Amino acid sequence: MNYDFIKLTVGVLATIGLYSALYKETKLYRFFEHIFLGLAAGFTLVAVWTETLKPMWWDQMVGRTADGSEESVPGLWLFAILVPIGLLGYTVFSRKHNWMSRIPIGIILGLWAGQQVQVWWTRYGPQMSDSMVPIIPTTSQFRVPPTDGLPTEQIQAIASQLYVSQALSNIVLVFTVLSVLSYFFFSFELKSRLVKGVNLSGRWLLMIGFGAIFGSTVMGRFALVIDRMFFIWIEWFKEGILRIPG
Amino acid sequence: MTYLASFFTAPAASSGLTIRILGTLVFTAIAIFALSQAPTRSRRPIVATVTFFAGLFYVLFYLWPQPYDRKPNEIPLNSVEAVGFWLKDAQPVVSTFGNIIAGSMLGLGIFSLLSVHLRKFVKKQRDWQFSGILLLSMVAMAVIGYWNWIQKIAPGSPDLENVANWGFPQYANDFLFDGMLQQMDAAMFSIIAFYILSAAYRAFRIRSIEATILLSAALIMMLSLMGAVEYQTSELIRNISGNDPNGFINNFTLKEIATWMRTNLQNPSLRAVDFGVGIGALAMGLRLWLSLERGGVSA
Amino acid sequence: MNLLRLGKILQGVPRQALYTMLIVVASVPLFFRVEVPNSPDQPAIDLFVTLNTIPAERPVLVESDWTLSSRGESMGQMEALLRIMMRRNVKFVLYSGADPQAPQVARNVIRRINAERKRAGQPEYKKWVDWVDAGYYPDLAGLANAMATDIRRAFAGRQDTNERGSMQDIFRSPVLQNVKSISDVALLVNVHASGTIDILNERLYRRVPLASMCTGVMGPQSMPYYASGQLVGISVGLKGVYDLEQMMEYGVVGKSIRERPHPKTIVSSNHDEIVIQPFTGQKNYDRAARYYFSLHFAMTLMIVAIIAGNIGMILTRKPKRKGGQ
Repeated sequence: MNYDFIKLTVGVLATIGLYSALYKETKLYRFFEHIFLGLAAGFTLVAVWTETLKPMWWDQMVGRTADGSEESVPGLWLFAILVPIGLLGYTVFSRKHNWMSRIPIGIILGLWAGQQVQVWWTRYGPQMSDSMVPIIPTTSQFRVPPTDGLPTEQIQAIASQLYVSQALSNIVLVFTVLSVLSYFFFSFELKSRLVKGVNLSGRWLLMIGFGAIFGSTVMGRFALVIDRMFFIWIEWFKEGILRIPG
Repeated sequence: MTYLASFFTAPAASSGLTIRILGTLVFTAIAIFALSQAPTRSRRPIVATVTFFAGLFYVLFYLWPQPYDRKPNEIPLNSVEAVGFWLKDAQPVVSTFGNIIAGSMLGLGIFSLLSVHLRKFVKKQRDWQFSGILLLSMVAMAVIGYWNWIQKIAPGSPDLENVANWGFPQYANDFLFDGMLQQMDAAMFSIIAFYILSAAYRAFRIRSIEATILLSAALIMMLSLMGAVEYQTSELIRNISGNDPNGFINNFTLKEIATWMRTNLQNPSLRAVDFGVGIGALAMGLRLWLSLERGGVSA
Repeated sequence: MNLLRLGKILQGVPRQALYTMLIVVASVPLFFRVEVPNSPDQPAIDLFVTLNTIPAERPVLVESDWTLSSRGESMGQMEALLRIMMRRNVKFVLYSGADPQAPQVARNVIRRINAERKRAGQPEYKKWVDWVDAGYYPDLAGLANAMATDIRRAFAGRQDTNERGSMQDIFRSPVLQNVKSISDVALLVNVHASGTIDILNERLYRRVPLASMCTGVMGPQSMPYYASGQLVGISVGLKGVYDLEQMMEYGVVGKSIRERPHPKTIVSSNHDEIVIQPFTGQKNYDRAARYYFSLHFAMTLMIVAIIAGNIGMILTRKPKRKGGQ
């Protein structure tokens, strides 16, 4: 019984213990649930200092003296103000002083809000330009001709045209964007039949997007179950107990 | 930090730095004490002011003229350029502020967890044994984690990426983190798949046009994610078209249909949703920055 | 059996039976090694081509924002990414922004891939020389802003263990010593399960090429950004990993190339003259190849369950009364 096998076995027991919740909530499930929460909390206690506060706050505040090939780095004494401000967040547990917890939250939200001015355009500008596609065909040909084996000039000539099939696809794209956007017009009443029709189409087209999300989510979640089964049946049972290489 | 005043720095391990740090801490303590005595009616303006100035930095950063083709140690020509220089130099430092403040607050959840379970354990309330297990796990992970870290950063320590150099702290850390925590994390999230299957079986019904469209789109997406199904339908279509790569019927393979749907229906639809959310976020950002939100930060 | 009874049976499968079926269909196929026929998606092909054509002398930023809660997909993506970069001798910087556990999880994967390389007689990727660990940043937006302005100050103060075993500034390492600004970085790849690519996209678009390796849940939301050119490539979920493994096995060529390294070499419709050789004789098919076969059965179960429930609903639907009776 080597370390790797013991580690695998404990992991399998913990997995099965948590899966017992599928039958019903048992003491076994609660046991492992509490171990999980405790370990996660303990790890966060370590990561807060080792991964974040020490390199970003302490090391920059105290600086570094010259050390062989490393030149000295001065300390930024103003950083001493930051952790006390962050610790104000813990006043949320105090009835009298809990308003002070809004100060660090206000700083973080203020920094976020100030960035929205620029980041909004960086994110959505290309999206908007990508949605503005030509919808009027430049030729009466329906299909895009095949380009296999054609010289470059002919391929370029074909690419410069907008064929009817492409125009139809583009119309569908533009209509989808506009109709789904129109679905979110909640601030005024929709009176016109045309607008109501577009709004209804938007709702239907929205369902396509949601259907795609559902399908993709199913793949994602099932991959997690398959991974757990692989861990139990192949890594632990087949390779660990039966000693058959996976 | 070429243009940030050296006023904010001091040589490492110098008495000047220590005095400045201690002085800052004392000043911060006095300021926090003064804040705690602030009258109720001034609390909202204090939080609103802090929020405003935090946001003002980035608003100015994006709207103020940026220095162009700036050389190292270049002196600004006028006050406008001086502000531009300062904003550009200060921006990475301000970014760090956010990280440090957010990092300081990471322990909030742990603090809450600790207070609830410690109370349960000490007062032997219902299920106190489980609280004891939680506290024991937390302490074990924290102790082993720090022990491992201290060994990792100690000068002259061996390369601990190499398992051959591992001692007890490394094995214990690996056992608790990789052997237990990560496996339980995976198990917890995988349970959702069972609930999705059960919920879809019981509730996913074509009772309306919207539900029918949603189900159809989901089915096409799921089928297109199955490579074997996609391949077989493509083979079928290829056989029908007589292996003609330019046959019109080739547009009706599952892959082509799924790609067309993704490009012309799915992406635009989700783009529009995202755009609507983005406009909302922009408006919310403005309202939060100016503390116009009723239930917002400064309420 | 009358239709009403059949409808009730179809709608009345107990949930424990469903759960058991899922466990069985997810487990049994794992015991069989089957190469599932597949046609990689163009977004994954673009990602693969990018990873194989970026200049090896410029480092890559790898933002690892996943933990074992998405191991089924994200670990395969991380392993594929590391294998490609290590085989091309591309140096990388590892950092995380979403979860404090993420850096340790990524380090564990690197250790495992190194052990695999050692068993195959290939040189291990050395910390400091070939890769550095830049740690965890709870405020990812702040970090991304700082990277856009001055990457050296974004990672200021970060140290890692050098070859002599002492901590040193990461910009002294061979990985980052020539990096003065974000444009010196070849690519930023985000392996994520929580949409952190949006934060990077908002702040680093046009400053550095961005690529995303995300879970199935985040895939549809990220696709519009690939469509608009804000992402150079994207690998979505388990299928995306399988696409990458398949391309590693058989290579990729542009649509103008007639001669292919292998009959199953993938043709990219977005590229003309490119030729990316397969990684012959190396481990390419791994996690995704094992899981993808099972996924077919699991998703078939989902489809059958939904269809059965709907057929049951239709069969048990009371006929509409005529004439108000």
